[in-house]
Amino acid sequence: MVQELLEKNNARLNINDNQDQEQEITILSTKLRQLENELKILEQENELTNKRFLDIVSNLEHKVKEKNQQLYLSQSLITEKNKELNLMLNNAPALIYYKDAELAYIQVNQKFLSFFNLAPSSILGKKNNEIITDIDLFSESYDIITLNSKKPSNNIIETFKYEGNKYYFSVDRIPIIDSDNTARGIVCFAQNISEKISFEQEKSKFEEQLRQNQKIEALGTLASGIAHDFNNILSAINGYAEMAAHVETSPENITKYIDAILKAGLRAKELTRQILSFSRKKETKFSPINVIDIIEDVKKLVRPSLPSSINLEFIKKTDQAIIFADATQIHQVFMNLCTNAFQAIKSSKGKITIIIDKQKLEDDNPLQLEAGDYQVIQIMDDGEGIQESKLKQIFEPYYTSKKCNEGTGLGLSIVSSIVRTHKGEITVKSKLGEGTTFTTYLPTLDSLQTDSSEKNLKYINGCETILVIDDEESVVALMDEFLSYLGYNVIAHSDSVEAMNIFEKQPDRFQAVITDMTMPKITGLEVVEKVRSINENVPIILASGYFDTMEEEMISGIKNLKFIKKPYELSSLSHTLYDMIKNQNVLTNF
Amino acid sequence: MNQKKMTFYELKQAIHSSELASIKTVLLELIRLINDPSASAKQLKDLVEVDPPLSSRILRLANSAYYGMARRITDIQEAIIWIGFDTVKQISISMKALELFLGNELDIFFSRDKLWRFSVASALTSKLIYRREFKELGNDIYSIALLHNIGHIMIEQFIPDDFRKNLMSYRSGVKNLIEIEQNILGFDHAILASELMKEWDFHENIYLSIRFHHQPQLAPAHVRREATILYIVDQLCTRYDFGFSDIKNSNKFAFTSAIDAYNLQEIALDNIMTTVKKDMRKMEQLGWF
Ligand SMILES: Nc1ncnc2c1ncn2[C@@H]1O[C@H](COP(=O)(O)OP(=O)(O)OP(=O)(O)O)[C@@H](O)[C@H]1O
Ligand SMILES: [Mg+2]
Repeated sequence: MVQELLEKNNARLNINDNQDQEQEITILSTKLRQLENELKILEQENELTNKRFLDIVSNLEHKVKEKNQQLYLSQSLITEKNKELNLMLNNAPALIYYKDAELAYIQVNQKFLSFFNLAPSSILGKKNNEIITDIDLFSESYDIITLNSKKPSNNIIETFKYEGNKYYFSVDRIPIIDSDNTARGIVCFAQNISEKISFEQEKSKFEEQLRQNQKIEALGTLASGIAHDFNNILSAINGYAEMAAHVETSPENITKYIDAILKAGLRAKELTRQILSFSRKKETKFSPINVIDIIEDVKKLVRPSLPSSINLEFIKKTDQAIIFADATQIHQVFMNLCTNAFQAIKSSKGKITIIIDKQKLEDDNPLQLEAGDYQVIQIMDDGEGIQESKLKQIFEPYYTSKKCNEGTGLGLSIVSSIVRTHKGEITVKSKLGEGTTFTTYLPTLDSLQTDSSEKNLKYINGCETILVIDDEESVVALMDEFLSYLGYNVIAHSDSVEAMNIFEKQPDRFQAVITDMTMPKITGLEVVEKVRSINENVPIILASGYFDTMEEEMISGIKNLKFIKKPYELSSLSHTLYDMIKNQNVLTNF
Repeated sequence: MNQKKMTFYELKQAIHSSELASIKTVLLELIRLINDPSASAKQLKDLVEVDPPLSSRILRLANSAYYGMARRITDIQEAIIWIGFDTVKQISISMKALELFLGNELDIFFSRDKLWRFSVASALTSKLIYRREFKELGNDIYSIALLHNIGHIMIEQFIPDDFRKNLMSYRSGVKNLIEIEQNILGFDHAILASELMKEWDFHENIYLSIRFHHQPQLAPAHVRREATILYIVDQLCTRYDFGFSDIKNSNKFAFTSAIDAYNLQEIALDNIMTTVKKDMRKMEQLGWF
């Protein structure tokens, strides 16, 4: 019974167990099936992903290839560019270096290495003081200035002495600026201008010689000019005397002749005085003179020797005719021109007209004179005129159409040389049988200069001591007079060696130096160099008729130095001098 | 309310010119992308990146602890590389659909947030059924399920009084919400959503299966399976209490015949729901809801 019950119960349990187990199995198999399905889907997705991945990879491969190609191209481009750059660096007519911001050399060109006799390894990565050379390297101080200012410094002249030779370099430094405006380094180009300089020095020596020769020539011309003037005067005296002695004429006329002889005698006396003064001073004496006065004088002197049938007229279209000139020489000019005019009038009747007027000349005028105001003096005659083919020759010395002993042929050559030393020009127009006109241009002294009310604006006074150096005695004298007039204490010298000796002995005595550029012995540039080596601040004014670009470059880097072009106006010189001294005082007081 | 009742047409017009309609363009593109196996990651990236709120939501998810990225993912491209194209696709469409569900709590019983949670659960469930039972990828059904209840949002937003009334009688009664809607409004949320989606150029499979998700037996043959699965999933998610449901889970017979029609067993579905529950918990942690 119990057994039966147990069995029954067991059977029921079994049934339950079986049912549970079945249930369990169904669940498991469902899970399994779902997992299988999920797996299949995942596989599918995986495949898709793989495919996509492959696409990406192959795409990437392609891109990598492309990039490699580009890289290769740009690399070979860089190599190519490097080659070009090296070619340029090594063949550039300059020593080139490239330094970083610490001033260590990054790169230099072949010319640099060979000039300083250096191997690349002994310079690259090093600073100036770590490099052993026979010659000093280019100045680091300008490197620093360029780095700090972040601006190029151009045309700095640096000099080296090496085995007895002097080398000049014109040095340009250019900062390398990053995009964030920090200076990363500098590139420097140094051009050897030694040859150019020595050529220039040779040239100026040669020019100096030439000028000396010309001076001697001029002296000769002047002497013969004076003799010529005496001749003119003597012929007047002789002529009148002859007429008084031999021609039967009225007593009044005789008185007139004797008057003329006396006048000519006075003129001769004046001339003698001038010759004496000339020989004493050995220089032309420039001063503000009125051309009208001179011409009036000439007219008075010439008029008596002219037949009354010859009309001499002086037309003044201006009364402001002040020029800065040597009165004697200007007198000579018009004397000569009038004499020629008179001599050209062969018939008994004739007319000589002198006209004075003002004219403003612009730059590039056909006369090639400096722009400015000029006095224009025309001397016209209705004489025989000059053949066109002869027009060019009449200014040549010794050209004359006159009979032996009548003319020397020097008159017009003296005239033109005088006019030219006065920065003027003379031209001629003529028609055979109709007459001749000589036109003389002489630069007007700035009208302000004669106007005393504005004088103070024009010039600025000073009291400092100035050293003036110019080989031209006349300039030295003029500057001495002019600057003294302004109140300066002037030490002026025509000998630059002498002047330098004075400066060296008392360098602090001078508050400014004014020097000519082209001089024998010591040139203006050398004066600048010397003065600067003794006193690095004293203002220097360098005057020259012309500056070639190289000279301008050479001095452009030097501080407290100004150059003025000759001929300079005294007013602008006084301003420049005043400004420079004032600035210097401000600096030193500061 | 003494407000004049909106006609069905007027309601549709109002929706057309609303915020909801503006979401549709990106949504459509995303759905197209998800269902296109040849679509590239770049297309997804380009699409998502022009929608800053969307891409920021995606990146927030991608950077969540779940994916355990050592590095910070800063753009969609990286997200695709590090957490996978498929995952980013799914996140993208969900996050875009989420925009439809953003809004204020209406009452304790209904909120857009709760409806959103229910939608995500149904999307996950239906996708798993497709994968584990039909051996299909299940990407289409995921997006359909995600959107199948947006009709409620439309009604809630544009005729809120009616919506509240319907909701009250649904809570206190035994009828499904759809029956109440048909009685009171003359149309229901399925019809409304379907009509609009049709006008918005959604694919026929999408709007038709949504149209019949409460009456799958009436669905045209080519979308009947989708409609039926939506129906089944609604029942399952209601049973597991994932957010707001619009049905009373009572019609045992209809459910059984539905699962029988596609050879689905309760055990199999229960197994799937275990996974869904786990996933939902994970997503909760990720901040989906
Ligand atoms: N006004 C003029 N009319 C015509 N010919 C002139 C005139 N002025 C100069 N000439 C010509 O130019 C020549 C050179 O003149 P220049 O004054 O140099 O010498 P010169 O007059 O001949 O000699 P000198 O001045 O010593 O008497 C003259 O011989 C003459 O032929
Ligand atoms: Mg003569």
